[in-house]
Amino acid sequence: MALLLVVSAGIVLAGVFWYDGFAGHYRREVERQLSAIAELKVDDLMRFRQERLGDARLLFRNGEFRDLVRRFVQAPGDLDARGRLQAWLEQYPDAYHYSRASLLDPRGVSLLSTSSGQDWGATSLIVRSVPAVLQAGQPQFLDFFRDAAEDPPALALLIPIIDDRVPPNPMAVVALGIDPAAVLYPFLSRWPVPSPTAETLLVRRDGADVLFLSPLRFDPDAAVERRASLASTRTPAVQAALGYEGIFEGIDYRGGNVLSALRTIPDSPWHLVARIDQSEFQAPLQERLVVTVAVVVALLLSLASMLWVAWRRQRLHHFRQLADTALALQASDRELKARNAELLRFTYAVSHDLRSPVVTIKSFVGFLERDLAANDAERVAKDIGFIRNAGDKMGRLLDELLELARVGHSLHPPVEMSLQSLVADAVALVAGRIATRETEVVVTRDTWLVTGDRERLVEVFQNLLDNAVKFMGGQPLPRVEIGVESTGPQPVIFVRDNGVGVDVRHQSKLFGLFEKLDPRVEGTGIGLALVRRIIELHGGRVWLESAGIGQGTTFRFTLAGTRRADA
Amino acid sequence: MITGEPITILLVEDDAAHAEIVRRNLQDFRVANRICHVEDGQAALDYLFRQGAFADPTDSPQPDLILLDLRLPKVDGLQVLARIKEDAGLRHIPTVVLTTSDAESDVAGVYATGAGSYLVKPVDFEKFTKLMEAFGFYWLAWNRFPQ
Repeated sequence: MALLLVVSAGIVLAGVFWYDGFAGHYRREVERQLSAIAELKVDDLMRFRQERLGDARLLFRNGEFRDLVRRFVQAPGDLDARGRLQAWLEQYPDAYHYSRASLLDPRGVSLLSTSSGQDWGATSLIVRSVPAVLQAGQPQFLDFFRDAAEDPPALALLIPIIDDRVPPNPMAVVALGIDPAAVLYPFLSRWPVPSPTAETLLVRRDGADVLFLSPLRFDPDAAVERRASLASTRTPAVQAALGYEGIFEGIDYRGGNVLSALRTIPDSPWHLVARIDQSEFQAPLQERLVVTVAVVVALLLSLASMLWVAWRRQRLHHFRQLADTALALQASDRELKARNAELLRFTYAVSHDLRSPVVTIKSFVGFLERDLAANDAERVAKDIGFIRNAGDKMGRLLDELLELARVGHSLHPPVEMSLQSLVADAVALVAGRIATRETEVVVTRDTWLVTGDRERLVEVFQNLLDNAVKFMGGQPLPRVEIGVESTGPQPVIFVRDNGVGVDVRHQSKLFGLFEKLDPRVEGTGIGLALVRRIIELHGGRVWLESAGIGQGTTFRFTLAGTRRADA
Repeated sequence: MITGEPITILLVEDDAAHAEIVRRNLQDFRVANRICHVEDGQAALDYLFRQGAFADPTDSPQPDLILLDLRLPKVDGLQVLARIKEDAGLRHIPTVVLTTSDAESDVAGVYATGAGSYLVKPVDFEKFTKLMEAFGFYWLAWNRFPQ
């Protein structure tokens, strides 16, 4: 049971570690991807700004362009200067992807403009920024702005053109318009791998708000329009605008959980947010979780079923052992009871039958003394005869008692042999008596095999044959038949004679030790006791049947392991 | 002695030598007696119930006393005793068990079945003689049998 708990806990823990390891690894992978993308975009945005500022500085320091402006400002009718300036400006939309290039006078009035792009009106931020730019005397980046709600977002570079002769004289401003929808947004929205929710956001702090500078995947009109309060600190864009850099887990503009990488673009008001919905990057995790749980459950189930099978097998084994033990106990109980009865019979026999000749001997020795004194020769001879008979009887009883005792203790290991061979051996042992009575012995032709101590089983047949021949009476055609009846559940061996038969009322006495039906018949009455002892030791039982006096006798017995040879 | 009629004893004993011992001990006794000897339990029952060879009442008169061995061929002594005590015509006959066995179960069984006395054959000759003498005095001289 403890082992089961330990193994189950092990499986669950392994599942947890496996999933946890995968989740950690996977999340780090997503974070790395977000960071890498953010880094890449930051580099690109920096380069973009540097290139635009580079363009501006190039023009700012260009003496030839300045000379042309001076010429045009001093003589607006100089068509050559006007034409060359116009050609110069036209290069910007053509070669550098600016949306528009204009030359403005210090009041912001447009002097020259490229043909492309929309004209900025008198109220445009560009026009309004002209005095400040001329005052600063340096090129300025005009960050994302909309002149009106319906205007698209725009960026601009303002380059002051100043006459460098003393005293310096601000002559004009070149405005280079940038359309972010053409040059920035496509590159911002590009994501290196297909993803349904991932995107890059560009934001800028604007007072107490954060201003979204690029269109959002789920809000295309957000650029330079949508705002969020800096107080909502769980928003990644807010964190970015506040200057936080790194991985941030928060709630984005749609109210969903997102994972984001935040970066600040150096030398700019811009902050970058690379974000992905938690639900998107967690989908494979959930899949993995389901797989993990399924695997753990499957392992636990198979463990449980294995244990169940083992438990069943063990129980079965246990019950089988119990049954075996019970059977063995039953067998040994039977054996013990048989031995007890045997012992009782033995004690009784000894106390009675062995004592009996002693009584005879002592009594007749007493009579003998008297008869010798009386000189009665006839009685003396009689007395001596009784004494001799009693002595002989005692000798025989002792021999046979010893024989019976030996049977119980010296069974040889069982062997399998044919019934015919056993009977043949027994017939050979009682051949003399069989021949004297001219008895016919018939044995079944079927080959039956019996198992046991060969010597003892021969003794069984020897005693039964001897018994049959002894009690033939006046039968003119003595016959003994030996065979097997296989009609019942167990084969029954029989020894049938056509002799005097027995009164079945005396059956129970027949197998007793030293019991005889007729005191005048030779023998001590041990033969059938021996037969019963041997058969019981072989796990069988013996009984007899007789239709009565003159009707012959049939001894029947069983032996464990008796079988037909071809079966 | 009283009636002048000899007392008839049925001796049931399979051992010829033991029968001879009993016969010799009672032979010279003062009280006239007649011993009828049978060798097994079946013969004893046949005698008592006048069956087979014992059909004639003059040859096999009803005994006044039965001297019964227990270990007998065919039908053992205890069964013979039970049959006697079951039978209204035989029940009154005093039955003395005379046996070699002194096993406890034998003694108890014998009295339970209704025997009058249980005697164990002594191994010693003198004791056997004394026992038979006392038996003679008691049963043949002093005892009064029903008429």
